[in-house]
This record gives sequence, structure tokens and C-alpha cells, in this order.
Amino acid sequence: MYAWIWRRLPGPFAAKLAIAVVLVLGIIALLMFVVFPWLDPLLPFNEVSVDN
Amino acid sequence: MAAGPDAGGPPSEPGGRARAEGPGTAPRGTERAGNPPSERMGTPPRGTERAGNPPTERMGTPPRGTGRPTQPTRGGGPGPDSRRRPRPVVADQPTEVFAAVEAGGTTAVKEKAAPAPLGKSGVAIRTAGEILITLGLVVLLFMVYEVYVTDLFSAEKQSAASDQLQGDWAQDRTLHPGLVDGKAFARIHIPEFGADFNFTIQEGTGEDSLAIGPGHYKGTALPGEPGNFGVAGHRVGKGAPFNDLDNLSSCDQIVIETQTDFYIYKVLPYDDEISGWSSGKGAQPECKGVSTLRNPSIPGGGPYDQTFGRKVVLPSQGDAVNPVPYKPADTLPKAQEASLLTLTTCHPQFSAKQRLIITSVLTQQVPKSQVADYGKLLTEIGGAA
Repeated sequence: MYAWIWRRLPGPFAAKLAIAVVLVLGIIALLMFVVFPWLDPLLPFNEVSVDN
Repeated sequence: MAAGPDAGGPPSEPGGRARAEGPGTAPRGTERAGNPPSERMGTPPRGTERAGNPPTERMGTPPRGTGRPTQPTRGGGPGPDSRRRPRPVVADQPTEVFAAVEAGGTTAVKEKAAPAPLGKSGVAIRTAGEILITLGLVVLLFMVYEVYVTDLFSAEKQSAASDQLQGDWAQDRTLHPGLVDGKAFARIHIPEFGADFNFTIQEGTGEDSLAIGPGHYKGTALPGEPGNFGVAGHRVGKGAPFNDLDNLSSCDQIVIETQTDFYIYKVLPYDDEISGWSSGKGAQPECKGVSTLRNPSIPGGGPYDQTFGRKVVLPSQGDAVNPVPYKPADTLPKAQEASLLTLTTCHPQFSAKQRLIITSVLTQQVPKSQVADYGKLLTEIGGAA
């Protein structure tokens, strides 16, 4: 999968590397700012109150 | 290619080395002499040769010439050749080696690419493995998010809420008439956790309130009122205001700051301290004002017989924040209720299985007209240094 993506990236090695880094950072940002905040309240880690 | 000239250089030097390394020439001599010397090996003449050579060599280059004649042209002839042979070989080797490495490298890459004939199943297995590894990394990243990144988000919200609360108080806005969901209305200080420990308390225990800081259970008493002022807070991530709640011991102070007053609560005696409290720890000066809340005239202790400084309960036990903890709401008339403060958080850490309940009792109310800020209050009540 990753080898396939790497082959699909255009340009010379440096360009591929730069694009790959940007892609990875973008995915991490997507997770941190969109996916995880959405997922967070659905999981039981944050139940700190007693049922009142 | 660069090796060529270098290699070319040394061959011109050997004479010099031979000069400098008088003794070192001995092996060479044997090498040079190669075949013939083996015959001479044990023979005395060799000694004379050695002894003879150094002086002649020291003399200068011409003697070299004279030296050679002693070892006839074959000695001189094969000598340089024998030197050149190995060195050229050495000199050639690098170029060959480099070429080989390059060739090998490229071919190696080609070879790696070549085994592509994994077959469809092989590729599928590899892809599945990559996906699993990726998911594992995502889960790890989620843990980092929960424990650390939410702290950053919450710190920002807490800071904004704190500024707004300060502004509200400075502008003397009335607060109690309208407690707004998710809006800060008080501040909690716990000297035991450091002089700078302070969080705003928001109205409501919803996700949004708790993301800012501790939240007030709606409908429970307000600071200083008789009844039970219930506050929930996160223990892991999101600022983790109540992370160290299990480190509190009885008689530790919890200060609630409102627009007009400081309310000083002290943690009630723990389960194992109830008996003999008044003569035991309860007699110490820091426990002034802290009683067991038990009524000695009633067998069992009366309405507050279930109230302890620290308790671990099930999440379903909502009565932990009732006016009289763990008792129906109408157990006592309002006037007879003690003024309690109950903090709740998850327990054990990183788990949602249970709740940690810390209950404290109001011991002192200090108007802000007497003590202007929390720093001065701390020096008066002898809190954390």
C-alpha cells in the first residue's frame, strides 16, 4: 500500500519525500482536530460525574 | 579514477620508503630476493648485503643504482614490478569495487523490486499488515490526544473562561440569578495542589462544561449554602483538574472563590478515622471545624452516617451529591443541613468503572472585603507554601 502510494507520488526523491511528509502531517491534523474530538465523547474515558 | 594518481604516486616513493625504513627493507629484501634469497637465506652474504645496502642508500640516489647492481638487474627489475603489481591491484580494486557497489546497489534495488511476483494473496497480506500497523499507530495517537492534546485545548478554554470570570466580577455583574450552562461562576483552589492550582467552575456537568474545567452539578447547592455543592472534574486529559484528588487527606483545605467571598471547606474524616476522631486527628489545629457529622445521640450516627471524606462509588450512585449524601433529598430540612462540598471524578485513573468522591465541610467564610485576594488568604489560612 505504502509502496504503491510512494510510486504514485510525482517528481524526484526530494519532491516525493516532501509530499509524503505533508500528507502524513495532514492526516495527523485531520485526526487531531476532526476525528478524535468527534470520537472523544462517544467513549467512556470522560465520565467523571455520578448520574444525577 | 582518483585512486589512479594516488596509486601512481606511491610507486615513485618506494625508494624513499626504502631509505627511511632501513630495517623495514629487510622483508622487502626477502620479497625482492624472492626466489633467489631463499637460497641465500641462511647464508652470511645476505648480512653483508643488508649492512651494505643501508649506507649506500643513505648516500643518495646514485648509491641506489650501485645498490641495485649488487642485486643484479633481476632484483631491481622484479622489485618494482612486484610493488607495482600489488598496488595497481589495490588501486584498481577501489575503482572496481566502487563500480561493483554501484552496480550491485542498482541491481539490488532491481532485485527488491523484482520479487513483486508476490502473487495477489501476498500483496493482500502485505497490505493488510500495513493497514493493521497504521491502525495501531492511530490508536497510539488517540491516546496521546486524550492524555496530552486535550490538555492544550482545555488550557485555552480555561484561560478564556478565567479571563471572562475575572471581567464579570470586576464589572460587578450579578451572578446567582442566572447561572448559564457552561459559564463560569466560581473558582476552586486547592492549596494542597500548589498555590497556583485554580480552575473556574462552570455550570453543568455536560461535556462542554467539563472541557473547560470542573462543572457544577445542576440543582445542587451553591457555594456556602446548606446542602451539597457538587462539582465534577476530569482526572485524565482536558486539564485533568482532579487528577490528584486521591492524594487529599482529611482536613485538607478546598477554597471556593465567588465574586464576594472565599469559602474554606475541609475534607471530612476518612472511614478509618471516624472512631476516635475528636480525640485523634480531629484534635489537631488544622482540623478545627471539622466534625464527623455523626449525631452521637442517634445509634449509627444519624443522617450523615454514610458521609466520609473519601469514598469510591458506582457511577450510578447519583445520590453522592444529594444534600445529605447517599440519602433521599428530603432527609433533613434545609436549615439543618450541613454545608458540604463534594468533588467527583473517575476512578481508578484511566477508567470509568467507578467514581472517586471527596466530601468536605464548610468551616469558614471570608468576605473579599476582608481579604482581597487568594494569595493573602493563603498566608492567613496557612495553606501551601
